[in-house]
Amino acid sequence: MSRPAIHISLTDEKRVYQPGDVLVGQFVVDNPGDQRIHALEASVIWMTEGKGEEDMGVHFFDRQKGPLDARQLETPCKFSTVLPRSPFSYDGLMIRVRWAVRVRLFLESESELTEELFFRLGSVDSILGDLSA
Amino acid sequence: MRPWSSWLLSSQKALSRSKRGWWAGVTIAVLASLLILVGVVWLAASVTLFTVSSGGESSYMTVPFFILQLLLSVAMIGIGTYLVMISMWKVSASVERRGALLSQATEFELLKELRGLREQMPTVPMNSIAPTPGMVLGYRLHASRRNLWGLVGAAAVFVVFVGLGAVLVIVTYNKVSLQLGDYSAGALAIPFLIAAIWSFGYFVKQLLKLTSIGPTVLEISDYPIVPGKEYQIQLSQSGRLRIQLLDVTLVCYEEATFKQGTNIRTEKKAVFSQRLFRRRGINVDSNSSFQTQFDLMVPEGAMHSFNSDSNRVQWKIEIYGQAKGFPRVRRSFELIVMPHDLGPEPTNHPRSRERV
Repeated sequence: MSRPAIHISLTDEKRVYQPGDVLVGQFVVDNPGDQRIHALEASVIWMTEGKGEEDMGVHFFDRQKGPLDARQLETPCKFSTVLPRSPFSYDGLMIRVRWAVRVRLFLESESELTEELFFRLGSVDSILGDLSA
Repeated sequence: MRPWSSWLLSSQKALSRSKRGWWAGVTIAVLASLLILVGVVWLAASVTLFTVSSGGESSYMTVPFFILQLLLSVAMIGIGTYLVMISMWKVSASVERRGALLSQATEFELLKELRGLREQMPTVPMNSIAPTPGMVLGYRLHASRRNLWGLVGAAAVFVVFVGLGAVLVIVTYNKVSLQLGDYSAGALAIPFLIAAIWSFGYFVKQLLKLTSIGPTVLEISDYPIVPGKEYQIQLSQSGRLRIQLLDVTLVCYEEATFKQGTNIRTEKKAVFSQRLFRRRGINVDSNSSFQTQFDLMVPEGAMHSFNSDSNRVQWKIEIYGQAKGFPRVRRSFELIVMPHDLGPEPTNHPRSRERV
């Protein structure tokens, strides 16, 4: 039996946004089958990666409580949010700040299915370097 | 011939007002340090003698006498500490800075603006030392206070080691005078006294770092900083010495905190640095400070200041000063760098919803 799969898409294919831009997107769940879905969560988050412990901030959060049937899941679920002023996406030497749309599916079997789609906020150069050397 | 004290206090030609004030501050700090030292030794001696005499048959140290000595020695330590803190503050901070901090409670629009920005951008740190109005340019930046804490820490360590060493010396003396032939406490006192000497040396080094090249005043034309925009910086360096090297650099640090086994470690790395000003051989007269202006620009496309639980991007102006015969001094002034595209504040869209 095939497992359900989540597909996230954004209207802006470049996936580069500026503060105040409206992030518009949708997601669908393919092959929901007979699985009973307890809940569905969609969020827009920033997270840090790299040497330090991972930090995370939630900018947008939407939760649909189940049970959800196949028809509901196969219908594209749209979301939109105005992006904040910070933090900007950043690829540093030890720290990386990433923005993502995350969709989480809570299945009856107490397992979860998660899918992420990354995008960039702001236009920060990756590494600046040492100019005084 | 005039006595040295009248020369020290009244001769305008030999010693300017600022230099006299500095020497007065240092003299008070030294005397206050001696007061603390005497207080600690007295406290240790009183406690030890009271403990020893109450155990034996002869109790020459009565309880009221002990309490009196306890109060006097604690008072000496307290007064000494207070005087050291006050004189250090007067030596390390200029009159303008002290005045500016005292008037900080008055209305200052920048503080309100920073508070508003913190609500809009929670990951951009706004809680560093806020600037105050400047004398020449718009805002005056304030150095981080790490140096002062180093000095206080060194003094505290010194007091603890001297106290412990004094207790052990008194115990040894008591045993020698009673001809008990037990010198174990004396042997134990040696490492404590060595540690006390080392911590005193460290304390003096920290004191010289704090006071050797005098206060540095940095003012900036506008605040907070936006990448790609040019700012003017006014540097004012007062002091009493010939400064061999003065180096001003704009630095961006990444700081990451992580777990390593059972320890929590923090690693810091400079990811950008740009020299703003450098000069050798500056003669700073005690009557007039050295003053210069230079430009500052955080590169366009640079990451803004960022602060989350375990990760940090921090911008600083760092000043290195080297005076002959003194340890190298580093002072840092934290800057808040904003995201470069501020525009109008995003309108309120629903940010959280829950459907059943």
